[in-house]
Amino acid sequence: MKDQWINDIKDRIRDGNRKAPEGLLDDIKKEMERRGIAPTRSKKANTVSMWTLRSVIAIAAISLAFILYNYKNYYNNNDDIKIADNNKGKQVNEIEKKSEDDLLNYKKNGNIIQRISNEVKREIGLTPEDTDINKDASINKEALIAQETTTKEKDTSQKKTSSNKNYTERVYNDYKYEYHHSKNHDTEIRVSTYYSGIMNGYSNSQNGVMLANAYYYGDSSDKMINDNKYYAVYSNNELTTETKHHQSIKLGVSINYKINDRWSLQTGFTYSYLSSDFTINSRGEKNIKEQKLHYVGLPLSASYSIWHNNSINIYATAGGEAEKLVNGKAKTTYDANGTETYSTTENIKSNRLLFSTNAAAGIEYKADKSLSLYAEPGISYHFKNGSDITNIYTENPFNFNLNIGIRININK
Amino acid sequence: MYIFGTDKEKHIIKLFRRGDASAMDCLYSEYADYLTAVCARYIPDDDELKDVLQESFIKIFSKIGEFNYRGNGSLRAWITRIVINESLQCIRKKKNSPIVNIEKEPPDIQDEEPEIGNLNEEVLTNMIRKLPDGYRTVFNLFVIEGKSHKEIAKILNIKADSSASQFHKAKKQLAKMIKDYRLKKE
Repeated sequence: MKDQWINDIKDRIRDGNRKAPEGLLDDIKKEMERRGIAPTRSKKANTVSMWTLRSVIAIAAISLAFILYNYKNYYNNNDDIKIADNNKGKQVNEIEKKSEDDLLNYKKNGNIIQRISNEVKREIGLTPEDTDINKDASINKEALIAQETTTKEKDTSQKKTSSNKNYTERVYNDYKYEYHHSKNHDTEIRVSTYYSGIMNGYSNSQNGVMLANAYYYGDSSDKMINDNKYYAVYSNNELTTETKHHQSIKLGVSINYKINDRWSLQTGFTYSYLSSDFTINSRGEKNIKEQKLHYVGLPLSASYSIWHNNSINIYATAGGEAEKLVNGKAKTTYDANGTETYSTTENIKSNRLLFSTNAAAGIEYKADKSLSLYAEPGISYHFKNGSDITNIYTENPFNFNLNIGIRININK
Repeated sequence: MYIFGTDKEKHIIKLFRRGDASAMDCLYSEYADYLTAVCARYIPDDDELKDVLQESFIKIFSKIGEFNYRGNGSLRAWITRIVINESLQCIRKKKNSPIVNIEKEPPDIQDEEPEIGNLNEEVLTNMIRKLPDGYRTVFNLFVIEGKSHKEIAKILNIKADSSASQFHKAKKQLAKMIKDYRLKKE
């Protein structure tokens, strides 16, 4: 307990001013010039590792699609042999039988895509849990429906190819025809499911950035505890806050409406999960607030295909999104020097919509007629909505992100 | 709703992010006098004070890109922290040993509270600057920065008991200074 007169001194001098030494600013500028130091402009962001991670995921997704496509081609080729050499020789019949058995087995097991993709995953050393495809049962279901549709179409095509016409070529032509000249272009609807991640490292590495220069005080690491020179003071008897925004998760389902060969519109809904930790320090007392926010959003965007061939589509997309906070919780733990610890939980509500705009470049790989994989690196900007909720968007409204997803064609 | 001051800090940070040529001048004109007062409490020698402030500002200007705005007062808190840390480093360098004064005990005076009256900030700061290094540093950290003796002990690499005793001595000496000053005035 401090004496009153000590408190009086504190109140009188703590916010005081004193004339700065003459010519100090000029000396500072000269010294900075001499040392070749310029004021820093950009935030230090841990983007490299995040980019690396996302690139690995994107490459893995593309590789998976490629392997998946080739694997499927293997079966198509077996079918070709069966049809082309319908009544010729025992060997061919064996192949035919084998391919029929294979096909039958896979059909028995129902989910062909899942079987194939699991085998592919085993080949590339992934467990089924490692990929989003397996996590999302609905994707498999949709893929299965799409696959069955393809199989039916294939049966029809087989009947048509009695005139020894090469099946592969026929399918290829059909595919090409449908893609470029279909009368149904204006009604082509595609469903996408995707995962979106923010690539800006800022969101991941804010912890300690505020203290980047000043020496951290407190029991933060052994190094700091044991190495005395790292100890210093920071407080001006004000509260200091450290914020850490965890990697946000965004999942979405969208419908793609194709206007013409180049233009298409997308809409759907998204779900986002944002979590942040706020640590407020004051005189050794610590308040840790763990905030979890769940948003549901309605995106609308337009895409323009820059270049495409039968398997690759490169496009640009831009649009906006309105998001609504559907559930928010904050758990605050009070820790007074480790002696008193208790926590409270509060609900966070907001009726204000969170608007954002985004633009991205996209590359789409058509694994087959009905299924394609895509990756869209892009930028987004979240507008201020006047609410007092702090999240990664209010801290850093401008973000780089990457959408990775699967599109399923539902053509009429 | 923004409280007065918030926009000023935000504005300064924006200038730096933009790479505006006036950013350094703007920050300096806003905070130089305040930071000088902070630094002066720790560093009694005016030449050293200038050196410490110069180093502090260079650090502030070169690291501000890494600073994240955390609401009203966060920029001020951050730059204050830098100045205090630089001041402590300067004192450490000089001392080359833990900052503890083993001077003879200050004259024993009765434990009654001195009258602060209308003593202004400058007079009080100058008194604090006259305290020996150890007393002054502990006094500033304990009274102005609100650190506990345990925390001060860690910061200065001394025992918590030493911090408490340094503060006790600082208090005694300061009380005497105030009384002497008032006697002189009367």
